[in-house]
Amino acid sequence: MSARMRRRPIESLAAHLAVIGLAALFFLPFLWMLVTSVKPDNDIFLFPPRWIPSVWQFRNFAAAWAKAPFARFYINSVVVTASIVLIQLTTAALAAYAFARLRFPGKSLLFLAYLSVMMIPSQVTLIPNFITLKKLGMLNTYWALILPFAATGFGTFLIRQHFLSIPQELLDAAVVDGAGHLRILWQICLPTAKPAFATFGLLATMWHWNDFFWPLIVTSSVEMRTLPLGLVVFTNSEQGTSWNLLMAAGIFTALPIVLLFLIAQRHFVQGIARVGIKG
Amino acid sequence: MPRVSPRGREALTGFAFLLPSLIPLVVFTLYPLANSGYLSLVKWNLLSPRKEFVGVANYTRMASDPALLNVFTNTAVYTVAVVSIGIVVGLVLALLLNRPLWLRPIWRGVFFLPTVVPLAVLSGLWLWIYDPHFGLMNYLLRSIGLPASQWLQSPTSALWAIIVMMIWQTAGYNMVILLAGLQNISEELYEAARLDGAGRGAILARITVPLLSPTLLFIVIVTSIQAFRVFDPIWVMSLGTGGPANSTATLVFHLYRQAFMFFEAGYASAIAYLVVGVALAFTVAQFWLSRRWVTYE
Repeated sequence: MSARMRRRPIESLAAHLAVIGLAALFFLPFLWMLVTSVKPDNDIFLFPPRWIPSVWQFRNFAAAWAKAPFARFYINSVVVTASIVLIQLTTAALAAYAFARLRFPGKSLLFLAYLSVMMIPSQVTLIPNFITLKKLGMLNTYWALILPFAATGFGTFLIRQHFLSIPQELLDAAVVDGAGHLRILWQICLPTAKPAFATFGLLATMWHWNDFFWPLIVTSSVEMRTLPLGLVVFTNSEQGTSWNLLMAAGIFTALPIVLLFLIAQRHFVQGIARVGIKG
Repeated sequence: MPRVSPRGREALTGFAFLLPSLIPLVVFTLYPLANSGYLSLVKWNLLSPRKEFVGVANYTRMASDPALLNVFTNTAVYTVAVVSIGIVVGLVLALLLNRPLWLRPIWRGVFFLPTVVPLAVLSGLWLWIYDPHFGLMNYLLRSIGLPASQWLQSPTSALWAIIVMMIWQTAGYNMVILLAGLQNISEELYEAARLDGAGRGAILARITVPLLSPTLLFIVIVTSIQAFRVFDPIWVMSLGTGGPANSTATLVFHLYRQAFMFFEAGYASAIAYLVVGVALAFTVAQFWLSRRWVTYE
């Protein structure tokens, strides 16, 4: 118990009650989601609703999984998200190294260009990118889902800041040993900038796993959809929405990202607090 | 092989390191930025090889597009509501969590969770919560004696239903940023104020909020730009229609509709420039206004 809690026990109790009440309120939609996901159909259309299902119908998850090619959606989401994040980390690390550690003409102008890219909203680039990908014959392929995100101004900036803070002596020693820039980047810069890579990697994973807009634009066949877009089969169905199945599908769509958040909550929260950027 | 000076070699390495990001940046960001400007001056159906140059007709057309006024109003209402209420809720959460609490990481995690879950999943969840007959929202309202509502099925309440959900979704983000800001305020300032006999309200108004004002400015700008570009929940919760009766259609939804449903690529490009222009003007205005209310130590 901290000094402040002890000094003002009533105030502390009130704060705890308020936090618990608000947390319960914030969590209520998720609780409703969990409960709905295991309800049999009959329980869905009851008023007042039941908080405890009459039967715990876990096969809803299997039914939801079978309702659309969700195995394929999962593979698509994993392939697309992993590719984007790995490519972004690679291109950003290389560019960050160039900006932090190398001298070349036009450097500050180019860096400014990378920074300004962060500010350009995706809406302006939407239609031309759609056309470019169409011309390249890439619409409705993984390329269309991945390539437009190959570079990241934000990631480059974040990693460059970390590279700048690496002590010069460390790098000089490597140069004396005859190491090339690629080796210095790989053996010295990458290990020291691990937290920056972790933070950016987590945020990028979240943004691209959750992305809805871009897959909606560039995919046309059901097989190419990613998970968030796959959910639409439940809401836009002719027979009305099967709420229990939609909730079950929502749970397995959100699960990987929620697990990642639970494991790395500190990284997420500190990352957001430090960089403050939303996807 | 020609001899290259060490300096030249360093420059070449620099360019080689930039190339993998520079190419996609040019192809997918800088070129499209310019190309959108060109497209906003043509009439084009997105498919045919023919583009007809129409000058500023796409921009003048905005003035006479009644749908545009409607989506602009919807977007403005949505943005103002989500940003202002979202910040108040976020501030309340941050102030509560900025004190010694048991299990603090758990509470913080619960408030932050909606920010992490895909918006498409949350939209599906709230579609169900807002079901007029069997949904959670009407059940809760009735159980505390309030009247039920049609929520997403009525043009008067649909946008507000989405606003309520999005406040819940963004509050945790605001909370995290504000918590970081609060933790930079030194405890000594509070102690000094308490010794001077300042009450709780006075401390909040005279110390906390002014010292938090740079953080607040940051949140206002970031969340406004974000809110101004809202699309996912609109699309999912109106089942791709922007309805009922266009009551939830926003600017970016309108852009999407013009480009990919009505095949008005030129007009949609002009709207894209409008979206960016308004966001930019808003940001500049905020910075300018901020001189009145933001205090830097």
